[in-house]
Amino acid sequence: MLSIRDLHAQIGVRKILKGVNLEVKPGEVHAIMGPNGSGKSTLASVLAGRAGYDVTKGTAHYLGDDLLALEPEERARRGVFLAFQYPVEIPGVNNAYLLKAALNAVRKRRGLPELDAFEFLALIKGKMKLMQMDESFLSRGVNEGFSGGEKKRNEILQMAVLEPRLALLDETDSGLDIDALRVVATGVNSLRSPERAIVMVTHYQRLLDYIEPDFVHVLSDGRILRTGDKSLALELEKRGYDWVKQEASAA
Amino acid sequence: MASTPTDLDALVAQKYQHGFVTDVESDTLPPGLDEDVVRVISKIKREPQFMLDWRLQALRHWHTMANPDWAHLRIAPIDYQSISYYSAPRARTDGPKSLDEVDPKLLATYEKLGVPLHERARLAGVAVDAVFDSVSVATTFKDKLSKAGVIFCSFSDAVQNHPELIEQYLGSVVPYTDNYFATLNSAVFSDGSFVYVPKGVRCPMELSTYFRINAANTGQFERTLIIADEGSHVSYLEGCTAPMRDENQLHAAVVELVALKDANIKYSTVQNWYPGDENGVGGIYNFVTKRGECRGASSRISWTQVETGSAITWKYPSCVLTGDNSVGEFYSVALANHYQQADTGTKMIHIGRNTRSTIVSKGISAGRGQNTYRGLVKILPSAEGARNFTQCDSLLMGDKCGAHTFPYMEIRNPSAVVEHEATTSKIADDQLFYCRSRGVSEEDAVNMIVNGFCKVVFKELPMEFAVEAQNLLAVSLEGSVG
Amino acid sequence: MSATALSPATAHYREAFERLRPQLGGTASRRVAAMERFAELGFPGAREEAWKYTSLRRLESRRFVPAAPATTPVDVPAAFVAQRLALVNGSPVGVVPASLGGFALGTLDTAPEDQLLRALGGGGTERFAALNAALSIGPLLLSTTAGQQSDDVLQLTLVTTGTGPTLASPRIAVRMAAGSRARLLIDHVDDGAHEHFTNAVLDIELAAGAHLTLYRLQRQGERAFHIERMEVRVGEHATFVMRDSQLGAALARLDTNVSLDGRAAATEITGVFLADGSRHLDSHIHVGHRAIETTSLQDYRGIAANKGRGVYNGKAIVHEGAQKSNARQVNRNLLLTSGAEIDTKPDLEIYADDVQCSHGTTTGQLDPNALFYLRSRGLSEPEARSALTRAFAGAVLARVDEPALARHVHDELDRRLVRLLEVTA
Repeated sequence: MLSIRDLHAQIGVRKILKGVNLEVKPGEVHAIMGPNGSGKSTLASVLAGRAGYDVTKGTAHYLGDDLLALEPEERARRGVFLAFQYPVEIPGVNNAYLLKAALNAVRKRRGLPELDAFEFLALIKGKMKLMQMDESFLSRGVNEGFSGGEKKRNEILQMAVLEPRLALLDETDSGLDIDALRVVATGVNSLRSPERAIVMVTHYQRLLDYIEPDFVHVLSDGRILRTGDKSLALELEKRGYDWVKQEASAA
Repeated sequence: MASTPTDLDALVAQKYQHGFVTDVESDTLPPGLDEDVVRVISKIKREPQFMLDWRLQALRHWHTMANPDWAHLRIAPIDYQSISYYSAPRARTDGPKSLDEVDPKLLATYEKLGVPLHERARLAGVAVDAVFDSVSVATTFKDKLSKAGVIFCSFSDAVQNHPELIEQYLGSVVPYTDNYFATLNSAVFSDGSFVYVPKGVRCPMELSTYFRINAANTGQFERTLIIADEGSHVSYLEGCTAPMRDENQLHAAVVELVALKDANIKYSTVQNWYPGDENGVGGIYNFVTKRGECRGASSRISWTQVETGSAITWKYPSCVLTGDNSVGEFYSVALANHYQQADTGTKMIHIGRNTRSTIVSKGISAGRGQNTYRGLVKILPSAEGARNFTQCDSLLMGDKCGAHTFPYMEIRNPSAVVEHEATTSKIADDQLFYCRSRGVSEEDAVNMIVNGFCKVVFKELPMEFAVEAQNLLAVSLEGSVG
Repeated sequence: MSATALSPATAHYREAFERLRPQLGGTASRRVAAMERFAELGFPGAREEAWKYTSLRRLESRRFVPAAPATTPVDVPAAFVAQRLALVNGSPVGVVPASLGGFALGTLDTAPEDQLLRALGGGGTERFAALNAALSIGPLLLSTTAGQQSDDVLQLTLVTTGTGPTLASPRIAVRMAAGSRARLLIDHVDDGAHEHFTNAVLDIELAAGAHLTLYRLQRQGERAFHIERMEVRVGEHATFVMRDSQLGAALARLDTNVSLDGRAAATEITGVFLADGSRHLDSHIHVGHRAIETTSLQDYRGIAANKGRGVYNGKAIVHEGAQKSNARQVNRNLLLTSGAEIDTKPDLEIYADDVQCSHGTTTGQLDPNALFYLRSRGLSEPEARSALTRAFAGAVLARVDEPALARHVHDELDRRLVRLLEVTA
C-alpha cells in the first residue's frame, strides 16, 4: 500500500530524513518510534504534503502512484489521512461544516453520492459517541479553544468519519491524560481493518499498550535503524534509544 | 455556512449577475446642476415650500465646499455638471397606486434581482420599498404595517402625507452642511424610504429597500429617514445593485436614523453595486453618509454592512450616542478585489453617560484592491463611564493589494475605557494545509476560511441576508485564489 | 513664494537668519536653500492632518531669537554616564574632542557638510527640519568604524538657554559603520528662565549589521517648546533601538521616521510620556518596511492628567515587496484625571501580503479590581494608585538598561505622580 524508498528530505539546508525505507501493507499497524528530532514528524508531514520540505532523493508510492506528486487534498481524497500533532485553530469555521465538506470531497472521489445534511448528521452522531464528544462540539469553530485532549479526539473523529485507507498518526498520544488516551485508542482500534493501514509516530511506548502494532521501527537521525515487533517497543522503554544507535554504528 | 462547491461553481459562472439594463422609458433631466434643477425636482415632487427652501440652502452651501481629498482613495475628478440629477421610469398614469399599476418591466427587473416585490414572492414576510434610479416604485405590505401603526413609504409619499415628521426630523442627524456628498444629496435627492415606528411598537416584519441604478449617466441620490419612537423596535435591510457600464456612476445617499428612549434600530446593508470589471473600468462611486442618533436614554442603533460592490466606497455609518446608557454597534465586512477601493468604517461619538459602543470590522483585500478602515471613537468629557471596544482585522490575498487601518481615538473622560485591536495577515498556510489535508480544494478552503473570518459579522445579519452575503463574497473573490 | 506672502512668524525667522548668516558655518547656498524651504512651507495650517491634534498657534505667536554660537559654558545637570559632552544651543563650547564614548566626533570644520546638514523631506516636520538646517550653528557628526564594538554610552546634554526667548537648533548626525555597535544618550534640558524653542534634528544611518541603542530623555522646563525630527535609516541586518522618556516641556512634538531599508533590518522603539500640568506631548512614530524580513516593534505608554494632553500617532507602512515583514504596535494610555485628554491613532498601511502586522491600544483608568486589592492589603488610595501607575510605566521602563537614567526617570515619575495623586485622591 505504502512503499517508501531511500527517502531524503530537508527544510532549507537542514537535512532531516536521510534515506528512509518502509513497506506498509493493508491491515498492518506500524509504529515509528525515535528520540526527539529524529525526523518522525517530518516523515508524517512529507507524506501528507505539507509545504516547506524539500524531498531531495527517494520515492514514496501509495497504491502504486507517486504520492509525493499529489496535492495535499488529492492525497486526502485518495485515502491518506494525517492526524496532526498540533491541529491548527480555524476561527469561525465550524467543525460540522469542515467535516461535511471533507467527507463529500472524499465520497465524490470514490464515486459515492454526496450526503445531505440529514444523512451526515446521522453518520457523525454515532462516531461522536464513540469518541465521547458532546454534540455542541459540532457548532464550535475548528479546534477553536479546544483543550489538547479535545483536539486529539477531534482528529480521530475526523479519521473515523473519512475512513481513510492509510492513516498517519503524528504523536497522537502527546499531551493526553490516561482517560483521553483510552478514548483515542478505542477510536483508532475500531478503525483497524484488513483494508486499512495505520502508521503511528510516537515518542513513548505508552500508546502501544492500547494500540498494538504489528511492526515497530526505530527512526534515528533520519534513518530507520531497527525494525521488530512490539517487544522492541518494550525494550526501548527499558533501555532507551542509545543502544540502538550504538549497535547500528557498530554494524 | 458557506456555499457548497456546486453553489459556488454556479455563482462563479455568473460573475456580476445583476449587470443587466432594463429597457424602460424614463423621464430624465438633462445633465447639469443649478438652482433651476433643484426647483424642477422639488416641483415634480410637488413639495411644500420648506422642502424647496431646505434644498436651495443646501445647494448654496455646496457651492462653497471643496471636494474632499482626505480619504485614502485615488479618485478621478467627478464632473458634477455631466450627471443627470433626476431619472424616473415613465409612469403610465400619475403614479402607481398599487402593484398592478407598476410597469411590468420594472417588476420583472426586481424579479431578476430576487427582490420579493410581489407579495407571493420567495421571501414573503419582508416589506420592501424598491427604489429604481431616482424614484420609489412600490411599497409592499402597506396594510399589515399600517395596522401596527408603522409608516413605511417612499420619501416622496412621506413628504406629502407626513410633512410634520419630515420637517421635524429631516437633517436633524445629518444637517445639510455635513459634508460634500451629504450636502449635494440634500439639494437634489429625489426619493428614498421613510419609516416611522410609533411608541412601544415592535415592527411586525423586517423592512427592506432595494436600490438600483439603471439609467446611464445618472446619479442616485436617495435619502432614508427612520424614526423609532420610544420603546419601539425595527430591523431594516438595504440591498443595492446596478447594471454593468463602462463609465462610473455616482451614488450619494444619506441615511438618517433617530432612536428615541429605549428604541432599537437595526440597519443592515448588503451593498453589491457594480464594482467595475477586472481592469478597473466602470463601476459605482459609492459616497454615502449614514448616521444614527441614539437620542433617548437606553436606545440602541446597530449597523451591519457587507460591502462587496462599487468601484469606490466611501462610507462611515456612525452613531451619536446622546442618550445615557445608549448603545452603538458597527459590524462590517468590506471586500476590495480587482481595482476596487473601499474606505469605510464608523464614528462613535459618546456624549451620554455609560454609553457603549462596539466596532467589528473585517476587511478583505484581493487582486489590486485597496481596503481602508477609518474609524473615530470620540469620548466627550460628559460621557462618564463610556466604553468602546474595537476589533479590526484585515485579510490579504495576493501581493498587489493593500489593507490599511486608520483608527482615531479621542478620549476626554478619565472613567472611559477604550480598547482597539487590529491585525493584518494573509490566510495562514497551516489553516489552508489543514483543510486541504482533509480533502477540501484550495479554493473551497479559502472560501471556508474567509467566511469563518467574517462569521462574527454575518451572524448579525438577518438569515436571508447572511446567506446572500456569503454567496456574494464567494463570487466577489472568484479568481483571487491561486 | 514671494516675501509678501510670508506669515509674520516666518518672516521673522527669515530676517533673523539674514542677521545670523555671517556667524553660520557651511556653504551659504545650502543654508539659503534650507531657509527658502522653510519659508515656502511656513507654519502648519489648522487643517493639516499631521497636526490634527497639535496646534502651533502659540508657538507661532512668539518671536524667538535664533541662538548665536555659544562662547561660555553653562551649568548642566549631572551626567548619567562617564562620557558626556554638553552642547549649548546646539553648539559645542570650546574644543570638540576627536572621539568620545565610542564615537568619532566631527564638526563643520572636520566633517562633510552634506552629512551634517542633509535635507530631510516629507512629513509634518519637514518645515522645522529645514529651519534647523538653516540655523543650526554647531552640527555634530558621530561616527563609528566598521566592526567597532563599544559598550560605553556617550551622553549628549543639549541645553537651550538665553537671556530672552531663544531658538536653539541642535543637530546631530550619526553614521554607524557596518557591523559596529554603540550606545548614545540624548538629554534635552533648558535653563527654565524663559520660554525657549528647541528645534532639534537627529539624522541617523546604520550600515549593514550595525546596532545602535538610543536613549532619549526630554526633560525641558514647563515653558519650553520642543520640536524634534528624527530620521533613521536602517540597513541590512542592522538594528535600531530607542528608549524614549518624555517628561518635560509645555509643548513637545517628536517625529521619528524609521526606514527599514535593508533585508532583515529591525527596530524596537519603546517610550513613556507623562503629560501632566498643562503639558501637550505629541509623538509620531512612523516605521517604513522597505525590504523583506524586516521587523518592528513600537510600545508607547502614556499618562495624562490635569489639563495635560497626550497624542500618539504610530504608523507601520509595509511597502510592496517587503514580504515576511512583521510589524507590531502597542500603545497604552492612562487618563488619571478629568480635564486631561488622550488622542491616539495607531495606523497600519500594508501593501504586501505575507506579513504579520498588528496593533493594540487601550486608554482608560487604573484597574479598579487591582486598586481594591491593594487597598484591602492596607495601602492608601494614593499609594495604591501610584504603585499601579508606576507599574504601568514600569513595563516599558524596564527596557531602559542604563541604570542611572532608569533611576532618574523612575524617581521623576514617582515625584510627580505622588504629588498628582495626592491632590486628586
